[in-house]
Amino acid sequence: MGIKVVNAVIAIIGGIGGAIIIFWILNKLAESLKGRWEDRVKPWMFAGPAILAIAVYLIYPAIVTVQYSFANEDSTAYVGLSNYKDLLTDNSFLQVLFNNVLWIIIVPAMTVVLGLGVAVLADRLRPRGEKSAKTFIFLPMAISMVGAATIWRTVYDYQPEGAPQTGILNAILGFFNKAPVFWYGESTLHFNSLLLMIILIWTQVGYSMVLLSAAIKGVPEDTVEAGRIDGAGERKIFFSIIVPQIWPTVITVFITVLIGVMKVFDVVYVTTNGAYNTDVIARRFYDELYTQGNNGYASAIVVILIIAIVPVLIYQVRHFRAEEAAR
Amino acid sequence: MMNRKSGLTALIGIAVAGLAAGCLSSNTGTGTGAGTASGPGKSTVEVMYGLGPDTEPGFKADVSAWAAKNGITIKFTKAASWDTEIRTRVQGGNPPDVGLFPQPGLMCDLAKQKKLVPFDDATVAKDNETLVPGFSQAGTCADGKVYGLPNEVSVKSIIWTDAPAFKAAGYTVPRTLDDLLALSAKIKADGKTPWCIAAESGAATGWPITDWIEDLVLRIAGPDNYDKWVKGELKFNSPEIKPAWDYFEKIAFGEGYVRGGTKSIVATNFQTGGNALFTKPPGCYLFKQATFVANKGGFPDAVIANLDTQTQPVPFPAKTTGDNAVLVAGDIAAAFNNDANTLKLRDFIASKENGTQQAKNGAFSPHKTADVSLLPNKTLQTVASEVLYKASAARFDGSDAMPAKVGAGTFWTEPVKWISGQQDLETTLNNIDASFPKTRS
Repeated sequence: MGIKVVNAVIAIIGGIGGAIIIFWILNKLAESLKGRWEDRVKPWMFAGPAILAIAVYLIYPAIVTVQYSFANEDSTAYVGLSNYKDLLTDNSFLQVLFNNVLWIIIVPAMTVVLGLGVAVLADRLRPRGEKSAKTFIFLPMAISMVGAATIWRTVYDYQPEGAPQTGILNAILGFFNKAPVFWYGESTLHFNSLLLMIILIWTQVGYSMVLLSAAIKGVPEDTVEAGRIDGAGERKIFFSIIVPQIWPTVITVFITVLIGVMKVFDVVYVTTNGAYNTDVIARRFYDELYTQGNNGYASAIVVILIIAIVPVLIYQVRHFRAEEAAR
Repeated sequence: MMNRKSGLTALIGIAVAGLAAGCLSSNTGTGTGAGTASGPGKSTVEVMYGLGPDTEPGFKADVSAWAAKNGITIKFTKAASWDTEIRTRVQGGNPPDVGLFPQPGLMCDLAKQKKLVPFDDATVAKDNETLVPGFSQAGTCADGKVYGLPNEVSVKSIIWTDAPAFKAAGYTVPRTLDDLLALSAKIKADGKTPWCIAAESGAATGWPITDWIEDLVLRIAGPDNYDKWVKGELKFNSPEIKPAWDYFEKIAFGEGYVRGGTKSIVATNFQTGGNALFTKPPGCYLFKQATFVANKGGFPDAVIANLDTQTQPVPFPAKTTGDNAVLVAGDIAAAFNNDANTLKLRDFIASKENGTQQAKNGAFSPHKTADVSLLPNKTLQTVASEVLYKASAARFDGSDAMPAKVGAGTFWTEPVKWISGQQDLETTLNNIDASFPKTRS
């Protein structure tokens, strides 16, 4: 234990010290150049290591992934487009994509709506009530996805009929003398996927609520007053005065949750491991890479995911810039 | 100025060279083909294993006692994740001296790369006199040499019953697979539920089904076909293997045969799924699971406290009486170099002299001559004498030895789809066959 602490301290000192020395050396090298060249080179000396790190740890792996997606399962020979063809004609993978679409449609929207609802209603409470209500809604944010999925076991748990039901839902069914249901296995209309989405929404509503609540409090009181004087009802004020003013925040929350949802993995992995038709892209990727050992399929899945996420990222960056410009 | 600059360049040069040297690692095989010892013998021998907290203390005690007598210092290294750590150390040219492999698959991979030293014929012959038949075959790799022999094993071929309830209902212990079906039908005819089957294990859901199928293949297809099946030479959907699935289907899909119906099999946890044996009235009468379930976290605490009177472990029945096989899991000792003391330690671990303290902690010796009375309770003693040491053939868990793609992949997930009603048996077997790698590495 003592040794480990010493090692950690040495690693921290060495790491930070090493970085300082590198930048000092690079700076000195730049200073040694004459005249205008010093000014031309210096910015690159400081930005260079970061650019290099991005190239090595982000751009290079991304390129290799694209390359591998056209290769066979142990990346020894090219197979053309067959990985993509196999995946996109495989019914189980199409189900995976469809599940992801469901997640994308339902989770961000529900997170925003519920977060907004809580923010508006809590705004009407006394300060003390508002604080405690928000704290409770925010609490799940501090729980990891794996933890959340495990906690929700106590809701969805199933025991054979006749045994004491340890899951809340089945205990309620038992109270009304109904047979217990194996919730994770209820794949009709993707009901089980919906149950898993609730877990993610539960952890994300707190985040959405905090941002939207701050935005609502930032709405100038005089605009609301003006609306009241003109005879607008509460509903009219909310939809025509408050919502338009907090719209940029709504978009930000929506997109942040959306990007998180596209990468959803932990909740599905812990609860069903993709069984019963609840699989999603990220879990399927993990399965192809680590269980099936198929680099080709795994890379192709990642490329598909990247292609799906990029438009969202571009929209987010544009949205952000437009907002900055408007300020 | 110039001086300073070149000094700095030199410094950077040295740093880069140092980094590059750090990345290169010598990758030399330490194993040779010879099974006999060479060299004077190291004073310190390192043994690496992935044993759990239940088995590690017993192993350490047994080996330490032997080492003290022989004047050798043992370095015990516990791997938190065996497969990853042993691969890393072997690839880095820094393997331990002796390793305990949880399954033969990876061991034979390393043997093929000439990283391991096989047992010499005399030692194998001596151990074979007392080993349960099948263990030395399990440690035999593609070149026909024995690279590993077991340290201790756990037994999987067990059906648990609630002894008082079983007796009160007037049922008799089934001796053959036909008996077992007849008993299931009888219990059902009595208006009761014969089976608890539990295969839920989080992300690993489905593995208890593999134990069922393996036990059935071992009996219905026989040990030789079992070996071919594990190696991928016999398909899951072959006339030899499929009958095992058909037998399992009769029980798992039998109307009223399984507590909670077929769907509850994949929804019930493997640790606690058998606890309904002990409710009043019993939720079921039969539950197949390995010996670990008779520990804390498995059966209810009250049952574990009175294990010997509360439970009766029944051997998973044979195809024909008197000729029963056993399915086990366990750790096999293999040597990474032919240093005299390395081989001495490995040979001791595999010998019948090893295992006294481990037996006291509840682990079974693979040697038939082991003192059964050392085991901590009558239940385990019965398992040892009735199931393990009477077996005509022992086989290691087949899914562990199959390529991970199947053994930790489709062999778990496809039966789950079948049992939860998403596809039929034919599709299930064909899907597993399709996933089996064409060439085994």
